[in-house]
Amino acid sequence: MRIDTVLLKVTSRCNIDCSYCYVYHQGDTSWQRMPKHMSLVTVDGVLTQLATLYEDQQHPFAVVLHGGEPLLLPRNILEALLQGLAECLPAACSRAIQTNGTLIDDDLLELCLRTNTTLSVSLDGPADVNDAFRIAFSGEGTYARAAAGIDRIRRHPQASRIFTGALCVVDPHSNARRVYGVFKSLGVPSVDFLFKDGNYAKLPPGKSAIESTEYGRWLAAAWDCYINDPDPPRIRVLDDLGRLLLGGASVKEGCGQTMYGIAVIDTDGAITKNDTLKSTYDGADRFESTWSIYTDRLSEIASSPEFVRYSELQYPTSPVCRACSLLSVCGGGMPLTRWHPETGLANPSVYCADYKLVIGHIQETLRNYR
Amino acid sequence: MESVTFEQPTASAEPAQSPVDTPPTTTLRDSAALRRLMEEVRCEDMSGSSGSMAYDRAHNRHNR
Repeated sequence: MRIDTVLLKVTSRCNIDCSYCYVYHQGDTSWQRMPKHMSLVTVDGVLTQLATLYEDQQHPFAVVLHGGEPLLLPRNILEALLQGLAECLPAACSRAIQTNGTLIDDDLLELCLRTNTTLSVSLDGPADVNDAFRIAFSGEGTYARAAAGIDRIRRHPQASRIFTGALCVVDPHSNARRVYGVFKSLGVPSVDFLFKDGNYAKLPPGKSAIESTEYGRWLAAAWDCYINDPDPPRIRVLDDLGRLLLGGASVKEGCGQTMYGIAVIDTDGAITKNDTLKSTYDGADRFESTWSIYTDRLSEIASSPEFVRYSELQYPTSPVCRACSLLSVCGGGMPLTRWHPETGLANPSVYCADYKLVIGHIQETLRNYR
Repeated sequence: MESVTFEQPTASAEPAQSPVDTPPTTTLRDSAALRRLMEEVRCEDMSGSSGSMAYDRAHNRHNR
């Protein structure tokens, strides 16, 4: 199994408190037992492991700094990590920070530029939409601070080398056209629209029933904005669905049937499964084996039966999915959305009806286009 | 690029609609987003592999 993505959980805490967060508000408690941030010693171990991984697999992978909020990492440690990554990995191994955008300053932008690191900012749309979910511990919305962070990046003379886009978690009751318009007005080069996490035990917020299609209708409306835009940004999830319907390939997990190698390194150096599994039950992202950057080699972990079994979770096992003509496009959705406390992951996604709707909508557009 | 007409799509059993406003029937001569996608798929066919495209982070397969 080849590793495509290494997610570095450089902090286990966040400076804001989004109500839907899969790290803090979906039942997983592991963050409470983790060091608040990676130490310099752990950073050294990570750099050694990643350099070895590249030597072993001779194929590029992405390194993403994640959290919590990664910009809570003390600046001297962040600098050591980004400088170290720039020195120990080839340029083809991209380095990125996924941030809530509230802690961006000019020194950070210079550090990113110097180390060829990019920034992506999480924002859920206009202030009233964003601030209903993405709130500070004081209860205040975070839109203004995140938008100011985006503005600061965009004013940098070399913004195009630093700023890669935004992640937007969908509120299906918002107006897709307004949300799309905000990202256009902010000059965001790419957006990824994500469905909120949920499963059969706990439906995603805004979804009224398994059969309901609030999210599918929202994404279909976003698609209409996208294809009618003479100068569209990139919309990753729509591009993935569209490309798959055109016979091409997707680029991220959650669409299509390509199996990706995703490894996560926690603040203490432990190696875990995809962190999104945290939204199913406490400890769901932990391997049975206790792997760590201090004792184990990433390429050996990646080829172990346990890691391969974990990666294969991406393939849906439900007979309903296996027989579905749309499986090659939806890929069964994110595994976490298939989870049921009694049947595990052997179910269609709770978003199955939404996927059917939006894929049908895109299919119809493509039929008319050809 | 051929001229194309977009009709109000109704592909699935349930009509696709925005929860707030349903876009009116639109006639387009072209779509920049679709042109870009088709070009990328054509390039994939030629190179035999899927590129990382111009998104946020090359090779990053994690969707958060």
